[in-house]
Amino acid sequence: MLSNYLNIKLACNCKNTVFTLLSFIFSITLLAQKKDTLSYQLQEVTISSDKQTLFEPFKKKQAIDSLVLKNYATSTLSDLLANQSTIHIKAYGNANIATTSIRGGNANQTALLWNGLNIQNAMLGQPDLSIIPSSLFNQVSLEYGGGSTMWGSGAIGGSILLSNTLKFNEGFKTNLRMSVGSFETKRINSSVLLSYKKIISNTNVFYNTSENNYKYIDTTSKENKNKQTKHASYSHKGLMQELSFLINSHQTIHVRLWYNYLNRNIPDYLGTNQTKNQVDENLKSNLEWNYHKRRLQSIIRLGFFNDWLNYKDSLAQNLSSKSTIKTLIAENDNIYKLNIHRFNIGINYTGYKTDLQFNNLDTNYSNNHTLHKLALFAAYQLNLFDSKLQYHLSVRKEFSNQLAIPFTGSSGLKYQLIKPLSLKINANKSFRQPTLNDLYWQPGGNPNLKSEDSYELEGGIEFNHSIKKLTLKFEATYFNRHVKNQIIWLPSSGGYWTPRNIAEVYGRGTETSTELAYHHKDIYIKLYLNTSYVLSTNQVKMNENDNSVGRQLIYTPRYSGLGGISFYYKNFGLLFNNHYTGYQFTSTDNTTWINPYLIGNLKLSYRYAFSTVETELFAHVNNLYNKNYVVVANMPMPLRNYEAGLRISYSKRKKTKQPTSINELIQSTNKLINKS
Amino acid sequence: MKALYFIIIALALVSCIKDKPQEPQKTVANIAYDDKVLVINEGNFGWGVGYISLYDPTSGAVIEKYDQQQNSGNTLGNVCQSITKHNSNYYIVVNNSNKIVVVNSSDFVQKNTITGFNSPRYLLPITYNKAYVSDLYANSIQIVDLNTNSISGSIPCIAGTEEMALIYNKAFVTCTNSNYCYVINTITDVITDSVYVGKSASSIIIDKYSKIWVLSSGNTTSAQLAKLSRINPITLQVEQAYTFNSNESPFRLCTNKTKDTLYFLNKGVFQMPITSSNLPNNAIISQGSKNYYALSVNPKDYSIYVADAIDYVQRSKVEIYKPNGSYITNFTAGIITNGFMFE
Repeated sequence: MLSNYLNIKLACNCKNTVFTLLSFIFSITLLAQKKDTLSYQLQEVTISSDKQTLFEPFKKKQAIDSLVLKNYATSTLSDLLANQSTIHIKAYGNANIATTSIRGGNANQTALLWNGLNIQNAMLGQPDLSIIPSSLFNQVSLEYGGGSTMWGSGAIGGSILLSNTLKFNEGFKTNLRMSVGSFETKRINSSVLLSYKKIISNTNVFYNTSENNYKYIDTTSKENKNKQTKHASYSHKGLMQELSFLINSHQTIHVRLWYNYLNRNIPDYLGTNQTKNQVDENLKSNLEWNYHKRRLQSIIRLGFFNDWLNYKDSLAQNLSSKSTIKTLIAENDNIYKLNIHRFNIGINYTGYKTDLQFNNLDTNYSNNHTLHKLALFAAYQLNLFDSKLQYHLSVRKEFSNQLAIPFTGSSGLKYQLIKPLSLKINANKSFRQPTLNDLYWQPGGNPNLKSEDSYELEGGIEFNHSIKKLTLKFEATYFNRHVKNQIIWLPSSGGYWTPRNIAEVYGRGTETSTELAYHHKDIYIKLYLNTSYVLSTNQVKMNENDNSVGRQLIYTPRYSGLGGISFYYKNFGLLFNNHYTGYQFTSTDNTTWINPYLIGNLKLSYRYAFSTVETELFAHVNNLYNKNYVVVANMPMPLRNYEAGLRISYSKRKKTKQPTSINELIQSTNKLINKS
Repeated sequence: MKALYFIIIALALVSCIKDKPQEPQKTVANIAYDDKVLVINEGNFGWGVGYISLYDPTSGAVIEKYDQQQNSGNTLGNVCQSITKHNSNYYIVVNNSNKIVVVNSSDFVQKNTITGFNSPRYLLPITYNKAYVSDLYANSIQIVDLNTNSISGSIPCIAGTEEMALIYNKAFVTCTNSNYCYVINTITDVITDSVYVGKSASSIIIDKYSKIWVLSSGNTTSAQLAKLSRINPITLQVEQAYTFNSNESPFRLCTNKTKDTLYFLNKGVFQMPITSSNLPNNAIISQGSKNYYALSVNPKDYSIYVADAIDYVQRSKVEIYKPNGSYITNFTAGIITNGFMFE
């Protein structure tokens, strides 16, 4: 695996100056520090549920640094992940719909989890990250590759995990953040945390509004190049209320209520007639009972979600589409630890009830469907030689009243070769069930569809070493995945499109992440560089004239990478981040494409505290190099733009010792170390 | 340990294997003016730019993006729907860019742009300076003044109007949203009549006896059968109607030079003499796994041009057949080829 990897990487002909520069900085810093010995280790964001610890050690994962997350508190998840991860965010213009592609999988092959519950839209099957604000979660992490044994349907390309975690007895803290930005954008969010010995209440509210009337350069037009986006305004508001109760030393109850409302006009960059509007409204609730005594941890999770989506295009024959999806999830998850063994067994019920009203001049119909699923899952982990060797096996089988869902499994091995270096390997079979639109859309829906099957093998090395105040982390992964029975919509004899299980996609590639951090007293510096090289090709010829076999899927960049620096000194903070996306094809025969883009972002902050009140001034420059670019053809993204704001926090801590400001920031990243 | 660091640094150096795709080679060909085939490529709705390819049947040479080549790279816009020749101009209807681009027919140089449409589909010249433009979304047919290149009026009509035909001061307008073909008095610009032709009609031709033929595709979900109708343009009676089976959705009706034979697509290319009393049973060119999307017959040599749009997301393959259905050759055109114009 490694030699294979090296062959690819060493055959390189590096052109990108920023990356070269960053790599150079890395090597210099490393050489300068090589004689230092281990002394200090900065702790990272760790895992929120024990279930993940059974599985994640064997796979590539990425936790968004909480310092970074704080700096994106006024953004949506799509902006956060487009800039801070190598997963591809397919954004249809600024603040417009944004879907995901992880490891060359399509948008349907991404699972979205909220506190362990799969919140995938059962009708569309693809998460729209532009509707989710980053400020509502204290942990955002990514799991690459297949994870259906843990998360169920959709976890083929990867999974996005959002979680809310709170600590008891923290005191009172309130936070108000306000900002103004380019394109008449105003954002405000506020939180109130009351954390006592036995009860916690945390309230988060946000309201964002924007005209979103950004200028762009129309490259298809010769005479009239400078244009401005029209009919793109939006208003986005929401609330997250969390309550936690400590019943006794081994029982906690968490209640979470999340409301989200986004009303946006959809611009038409090509024409002049702008009449499209989309309203997303979501109400999600979650009840979690956590029992933890001696060797047993038992969790009951309940989720009830209401998702409404209302799309209107008054021009296109008065098209109006209103959909309502009700989701009920009930799960019992048990982990039992016995010396070197860990056992996990659980059961999950998921039910969807959908209602679609579709109207235009020509068609009027309503469509109601119900889907029930029952999942049984089990996992086993073995830790040998002081946990130097870890082995994992997990299985999941789902049963449904309307679908045949395959048996899925995952197995992994992690071995600590020498102190800083570990090797890991994982093989998994995962699935994606057809969406309710795939099954029942009129016309064309195909009720005989099967689930998509994915077979993935991945292996990687992980290096983690600290020398005095310097920490180096490095991870390189190779993956190889075959997706069979992939659903694809094709023209049918009736003159409409219909989905069929005939596509086959072969994905393979390498990912690296490198991180070098230095923390001493008032200084914190982190340099990072993540790369991803993904080949994802169509394997089946559907038509004798088809010229797409063996070619890269559309809107799947082969190369992407990000690199940057986080720098904190006393009250001052700086985040400088660059994100590169390589060529993306827009035709399946790879004859048309979108040009690569390198987008830089600069985020500056200055904090000032007097007694229990802390203020922070922040300024963001997005698209620093003023790059004119599109992610989706003809959907221009904004040129250089700005945001500036103020945060005011008041806290009354229970703890006696008041930490220094930087340490406080760093410590806030050290949440919930695995207690085992 | 040193070696380890070396490996790590080597790996951290990000790979930049040549990612830039190869530009397709430009064909430089001298194509005789009187022997060219213009190929209309729609391009993907919302994403791409439609363009015109130029094909020379004699040499087999293709000039891709001919329109851009003749206009220093200036593009036509999104979704090239149709092309009409009139007054030594080509009128290219660019549907999703809501405009009509006027180019000189001799050298394809852009002269003018007619704007203000909603979702234009086809242009039908009525007089030297007047044309009608059908529209997918507007509840009217636009009247265009070809002298000033502007919209001079509109004729209220249900949205979804498609191909049109002109005869005896009557314009026959097909419409996908209704069951009727509308008849406009071209002197008064008023709809005077409508003829029942069945659901979802979009193509229309005039035969050698000056009879109108309309092909409606039907609607398979609402079980409305596809229909081919022959209309007498004077009496406005349907003289003959042919009904298709329930799972059929024929489209792209066209005719040959002598206007005595009809051609259409119905999972394959079908040929039918205008005197036939039945629909043809078998395709003269079977489709197989292909996805035929455009059809035309070269008036010069009666050869059949049929375009396979494949998956709609790659360059189409245009196949040329003899009138008896035997294969001659093929060439690659642009994304979603939807029609041809023979010069």
